[in-house]
Formats: sequence, structure tokens, C-alpha cells
Amino acid sequence: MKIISKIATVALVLSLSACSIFNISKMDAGEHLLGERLQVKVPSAWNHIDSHFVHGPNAQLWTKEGMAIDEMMFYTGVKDGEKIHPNNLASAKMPDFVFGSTMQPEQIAAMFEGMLARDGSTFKLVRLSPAPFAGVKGFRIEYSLIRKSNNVELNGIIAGAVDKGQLYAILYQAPRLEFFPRQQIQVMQIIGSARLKN
Amino acid sequence: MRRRLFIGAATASLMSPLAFAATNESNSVRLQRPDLATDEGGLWALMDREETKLRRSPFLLRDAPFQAYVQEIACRLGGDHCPDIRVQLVRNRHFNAMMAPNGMMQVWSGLMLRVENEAQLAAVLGHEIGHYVERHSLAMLRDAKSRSAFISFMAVFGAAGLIGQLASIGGALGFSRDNERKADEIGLHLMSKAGYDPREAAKVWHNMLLEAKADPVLDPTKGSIFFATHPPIEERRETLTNMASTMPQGQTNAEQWQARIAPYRLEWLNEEVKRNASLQSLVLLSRLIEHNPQVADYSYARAEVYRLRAKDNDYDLALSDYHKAQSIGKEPAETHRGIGMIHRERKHIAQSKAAFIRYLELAPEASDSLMIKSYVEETSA
Repeated sequence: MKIISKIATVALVLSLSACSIFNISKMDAGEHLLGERLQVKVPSAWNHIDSHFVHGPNAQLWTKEGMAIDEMMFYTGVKDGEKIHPNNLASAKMPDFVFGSTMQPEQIAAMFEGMLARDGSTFKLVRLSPAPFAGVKGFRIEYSLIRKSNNVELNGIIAGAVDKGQLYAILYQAPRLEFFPRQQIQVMQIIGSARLKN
Repeated sequence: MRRRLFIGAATASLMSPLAFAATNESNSVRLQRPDLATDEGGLWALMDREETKLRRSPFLLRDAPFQAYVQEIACRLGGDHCPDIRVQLVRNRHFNAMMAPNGMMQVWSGLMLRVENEAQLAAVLGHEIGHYVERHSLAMLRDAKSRSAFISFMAVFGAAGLIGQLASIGGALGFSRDNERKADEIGLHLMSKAGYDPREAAKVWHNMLLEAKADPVLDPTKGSIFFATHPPIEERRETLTNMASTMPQGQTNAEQWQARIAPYRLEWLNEEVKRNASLQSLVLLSRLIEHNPQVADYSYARAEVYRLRAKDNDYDLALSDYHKAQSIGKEPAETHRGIGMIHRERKHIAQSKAAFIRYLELAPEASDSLMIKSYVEETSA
């Protein structure tokens, strides 16, 4: 049994280390400019997790309920050839997913699917549809995900568009039964408020 | 106890047939549940809990006839141990199988996609049964215990400590070289005894090697602490080839295996395509096409890999494979979507429209039907 306590100890050390290196700040209700061009209006306060060293310079992570529960990612101008959520664990030997400016929505959906499922989670595309985003022609991806690490079933939505060769998108995912429905209306309001500054 | 089977490797074994006969004799005795007060008893109890969780897991493939079929193969291999072996089929796109000390055996879908026949599956299951009957998990547990001082020591040093912990965990989750050798030997003899062709065992590792080496960046045998403690797969392949050459040939049951996985094949292939490891996927799919030229799913999947990679002449290669899938017949509906996407990219309006319409006819309720309809409408505008 001691092996388990050792592994648990190591896991605890790792998770605490992770917590201590993430800066969390409050994002008040109101308008926010994310990156250089993506502007959104949020109805209530959210938590912003400073994770640029994990997610790269053109993505932001917000959460309402806490990092382990729900995630809202803002992609604020991912450039051609840039990795989406780079795999920073070199020993894990997992592929990276790279955005291409000529990608079609179906290819972008495949990119997100691969990225979200690369840890062994199970991704299911529920609906891929055309939908304006931030005032330009865009797409909407609705999906479900069974998280490998804890078997929790999540629902997710990605609304986005490619403008001037860069990807702008909002991803929200949360446990299917309680948290996703709880935030769904607000998330749709945030998606609907998105605008791109010229 | 979880671990990646493919990274456990074994080198040459010089055991004599007599020595193996003696091993077989001792291995036929069923394992008794150890006293809970012992470390082995604790390990079993832990695995019992993991098994309970697995039975509830959404990743479990709940297909009783399929499970019974693989269980039957495991029983043919395990002989007297059959009542203690409980096979669970798990949906996971990576190549893996594992057997816990309490008799729980997991077989992942990534493995089932990759093996070409029953004999190759039997080689892997036999190897796992080898670990089980030799109680290698106990040795691994005790080895992990001896690392505790090392973990505590390294934890003092911040980042270096983290690396040390990861290294120790990696080591703790792998069997020793000698244990891998032993499991390989046992597995080979079990599959031969069960009537399978032992030459198929080396092919499993040959195929894994080809796939692993296809992408230098993703090659799991490079730069891994885990791999560093194990002998190379090449050696394992050679050893198994040599050992099998002295054994009687047997059955492969390729057709039975392909028929059994057919209901899941497309789902597993789509998961492989989305792995975004195009170099490895192309090696895998080319091999599967070569062995099953009459199965349209494999040509479709390779076309998808080319199309999503979209480099150089990938679209031409994709179209060739899509058309091959069509000519075979019973191609997945998504074949036509792929054709449509490439023609749309190339501004071949009429061809893309025709392909999309065909896709929507075959899969009107597809999750991306709204998007594809919008493409059809844009060509009509």
C-alpha cells in the first residue's frame, strides 16, 4: 500500500507546485480587450488564470467555478504555424497541434478534437455549424468529452472565426450535469458580445 | 499496475527447453489471494478497487460477446489460471495491455486496432499472463519501495526534485529487464501451446518498431527515462523470432479477428486519425491496407491523414485513397465529405458539390451536416 501513498505524495507536491506558479486575478463585469483585437463583454466577474507559459501568448484561461471544474479559453489571434496548447511535457511524447491560416472549420474542429483528446480523453463532436463570430463569418463547435483523468463527462462549445489569417475563438467546457448548464447562458452572452477591433 | 506494454522490452533468452518445462510446471498453479496484512495483499486490494472503478468507467467497452471472445483467448492461453483472469476491453487509442496482480487484464482499443490477427493479440495477452503468473508486480512494488529514500532526497531540490519524482514514478511503473524477458518467453510458449503461430509474436514488436521510428520527434524509445531502463525493441523482436523458429507453426485466425473488430474499426480509425501523429499513422495504416486490401475503412482513414496534414501532394494522395475506398465499396460516408473538402479547396465547384450532396445523402444526421449544407449552398449561390 505504501507505493500508493508515495505516488499520492508526489501528485500532491506536483499539484501544489502547479498552484503556486499560476497567478489568479479577478476579471470584473464589463468590457475587456483580450490580446490586441478581441473584445468581449462579461455580465459578471470571472477569474483569470495567468497561464501564458502553458498556453502561449495568444490564449487566455478564465474560470468561473475553479480551474478543476470549468474552463473558458480565449484565443486572441493565434497565428499561422502557432501551436494550440503546446505540449510542454517533453517526456510525454504527445503530438502538438498547429493552427494553419487556411484551415477550414472542419479542420479546426479536428485540431481541437485532437488537442482535447490527446491525454486519452474521449471527444465526440455533437454539432459543427456555420455561425458568425465577432462580426465575421465563423463557426460553432459543440462537443462532449469524457475526461480521462477522472471519467467526468463534460460539455463544451467553441465559437470562433479566422480573420486576417489569425484564429479568434472562445472555448468553454464544464461538467455536463451541473456546471455547463449553470454557465451556459452567460457563456453565450459573452460569445455574442465578441467583437474584433480593426 | 499500469504500464505501457510496448515499452517493456526483453532481450535474448538462453533458457533451455528443459528449464522452460520446469517453469511451465510451476506456472500452472493458481495464485491464491495473499494475506491483506502483507504488501502483496495490499497491492491486490488496491487493484480490486481499481477494477471496481474500471467496471463503472465510461471508457469500458461494454460489448459482452466481444469481451467473451477476448476472454476465451485469454483462457486458452492461461490454462488453469483461466478462472482468475478477467479481461476488460478499454477504449483508448494507445497501444497497451496490462494485467494486474489480482487477475484484472485490460486490453486497449489502440492495441486491438493494431494487431492483425488473433495470434498477435495472443502474443500480447500471453506476455501479460506471464507477468501475472510470475507475480512480477510484487517485485515492482518492492523495487518502488526501495526508491522512497531517493524520492525524499530529490524532493528537497525544487525543480530537480520534480524531475527526480517523475523519474522514480516512471521506473516504479515498469518491470525489470529480466521480468520482461521472462514474460516474453512465457507468452510465446503459451500462444504456441494454444495453437497460435508463435512467429506472429515478433511481428507485433516489428510493427511497433516501424511505427515508433516513423517520427523521430514522437519516437517513445528516445529520450525517455522509462525506455532507458529497458532493452531495445529490436532485440526483443530478434529473440522472439529465434525462439519461434524452433516451435511448431500454428493458426493466426486473421479473418476471425477482422470480423470481430469490424463494428468498431471506423471509430478506432477516426481516433487514430485525430491523434495528429501523421507519420506514425501513415505507417500503421499502410500496413493495415496491405494486410486487408479489401477493407475500405483503412484506405479512407489514410486519406483522412493525408487531407488533414495537407502538405505538398497530400491532397492528391488523399484523393487516390478516397477513390480506392470507393472502388472497394462500403466506404464510410465521410469518404465523400473528404473528396468534397479537397475539391472545395481547389475551387472545383461541381465536383465538391456532388461529393457533399452524396455525403449528406449517406449521412443526413451527421454532426457536421449543417456546415456541409452551407458549403453546398455557397456553391449554388
